[in-house]
Amino acid sequence: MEDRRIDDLLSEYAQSLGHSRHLVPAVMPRKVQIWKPVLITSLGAAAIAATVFMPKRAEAAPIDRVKGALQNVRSWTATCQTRDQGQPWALQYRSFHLDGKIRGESPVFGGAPRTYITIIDSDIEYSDHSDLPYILKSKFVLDHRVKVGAFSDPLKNSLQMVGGEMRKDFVRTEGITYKGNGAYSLSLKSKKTGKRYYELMVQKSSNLPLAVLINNVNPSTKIPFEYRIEYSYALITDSSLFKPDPKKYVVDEVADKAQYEAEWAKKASAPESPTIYGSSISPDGTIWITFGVKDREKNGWTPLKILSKNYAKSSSFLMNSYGNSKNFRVNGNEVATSNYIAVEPGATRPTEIQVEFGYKPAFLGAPKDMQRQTIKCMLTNEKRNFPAFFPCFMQEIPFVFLARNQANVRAHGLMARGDYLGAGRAFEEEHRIIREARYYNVSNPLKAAIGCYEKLGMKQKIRELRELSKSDPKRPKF
Amino acid sequence: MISLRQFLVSSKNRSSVDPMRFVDDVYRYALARTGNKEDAEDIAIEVVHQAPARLSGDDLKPYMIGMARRKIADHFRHSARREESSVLPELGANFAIEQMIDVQRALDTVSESHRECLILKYVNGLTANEIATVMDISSDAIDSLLQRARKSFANQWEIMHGEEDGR
Repeated sequence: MEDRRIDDLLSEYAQSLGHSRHLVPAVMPRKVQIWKPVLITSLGAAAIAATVFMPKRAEAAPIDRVKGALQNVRSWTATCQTRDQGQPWALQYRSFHLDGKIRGESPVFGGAPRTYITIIDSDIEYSDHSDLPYILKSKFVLDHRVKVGAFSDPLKNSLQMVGGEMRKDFVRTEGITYKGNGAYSLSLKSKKTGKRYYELMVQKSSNLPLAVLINNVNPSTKIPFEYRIEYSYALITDSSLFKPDPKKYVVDEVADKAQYEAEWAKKASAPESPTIYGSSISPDGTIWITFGVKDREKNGWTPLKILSKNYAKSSSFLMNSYGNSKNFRVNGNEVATSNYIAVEPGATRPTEIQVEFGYKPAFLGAPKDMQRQTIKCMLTNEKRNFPAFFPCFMQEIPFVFLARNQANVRAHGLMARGDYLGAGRAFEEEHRIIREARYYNVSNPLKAAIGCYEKLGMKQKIRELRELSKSDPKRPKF
Repeated sequence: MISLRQFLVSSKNRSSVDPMRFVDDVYRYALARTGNKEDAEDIAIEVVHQAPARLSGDDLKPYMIGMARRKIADHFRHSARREESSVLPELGANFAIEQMIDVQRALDTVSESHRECLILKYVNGLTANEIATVMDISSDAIDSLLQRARKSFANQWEIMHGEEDGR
């Protein structure tokens, strides 16, 4: 077993321990919103900003002038970008506003790159998730609170990001040009450090906000980051932007779950052989084996491997009853799903596979003594890159974890074959996913990629990655 | 016993070297050792409450983990439950990963010093010197202890998973 594999396992384990539940707010079973990833971070940052930067004295006039100007605006567009210190800007969301209707588009959802669209018409919010794989029916509720939310006007939105409207001691700076517009800025400075952390660029001729620039610290990673929200006020004439398709991808998790449960309950379960509830292959070539185990902690049949050279074992997931921390059971069996990653995606697409199961009487049993059974499983095709029943049993599917794990398992699989070039690329892909999701403290795939390229003597590539590694934000050591 | 949330509120005005910085480190260490969230939170609260403010940030973290270590030893001494991690930890994520449970099992089966060394390195991210401080052994011995701990973990993992995890 390689040292790096040990590092990965133990780092993931450390990550899985998480934080004290009292320090991390619970995930509320409510409608998913487009701004969720941004807003959660923003509110956390706002709480810190509100604590650190206390107001000194009220000076409301300049802001009131901007508020007055916004009252006459019926159409505007906002583009929000963020970046960690020293990194390039990344688009977080764009929103279009016309006469109270709002369309929001986010290319990053829950840390994973996919477009998610929300349309708000009057008091009602619709979700038309362009690339989002599904939405749960229980979360698909009409949300009447959106109109009073932060997005009803750009100023309120940006001020809430730094602690609401409690700060009124804005410093006005004249004679600025922002992207060709004559402007002035209203900024807030930290009382402690004197540094400017909120700057509102206002068009001089109209008193409308042109942009907001915010410097803050990510409350979870402690890494400094910046927000840049830019506004334009051209009248939006494309009404199709606000037409929703609300029923797309809605999953009725209650009815579907009952159906799966009934289907799985029909499968015979005997202690002398594994209980298999399903086997499928997703479009990206990943194979999913769903099985039941009576007593996972003491003994039970679990899949060890599939008899194909192109597949490597990844993680297993236990299904839990939606909104319930207890693991889901059918006829006393816990339901689990193992997934196997195609080391070379697209090389083959099997329709059936042989799965070797092992019976673990106790976890200390030596492998040679382990009772084994090989079972042929027919593979059904999944429409998406996860089993169709996942939404019914998981509060949130860990897309980032799956993507990152897929790259990691593939890299190790390729390395075991001696394909260091492929492995290096897969580690780079893992690094890209980690960086995009800002999981900086999980492991160091870039180092692993460099290790692969060292074996091939690719000096230029190694130099490039070392440079990239230098700019990689690290979790600070206190 | 007050909840951690109540404690956080009441401890807002504490000293400038704030032990609260390391509450998660202590909590994670305690969770990895005890396998019980309630116990881990109680230990974290006690340690934060009793931590001295005069130490610098660099020294405070290993010191607090050392305090947690002693409290855990007391906890097991006075508890009917003699074995550490006899309850598998509730995983922090909202999905359960069997692999992580297996890691916990493998950690449970290595010797106490090996387990502790691995937890301090991987869960708490301590340096060799800091691990030496917490475990009260010489810093020269840490590298070899860590090496042996990793080997022992790897052996255990291979026993549990057989050759299929040879990647």
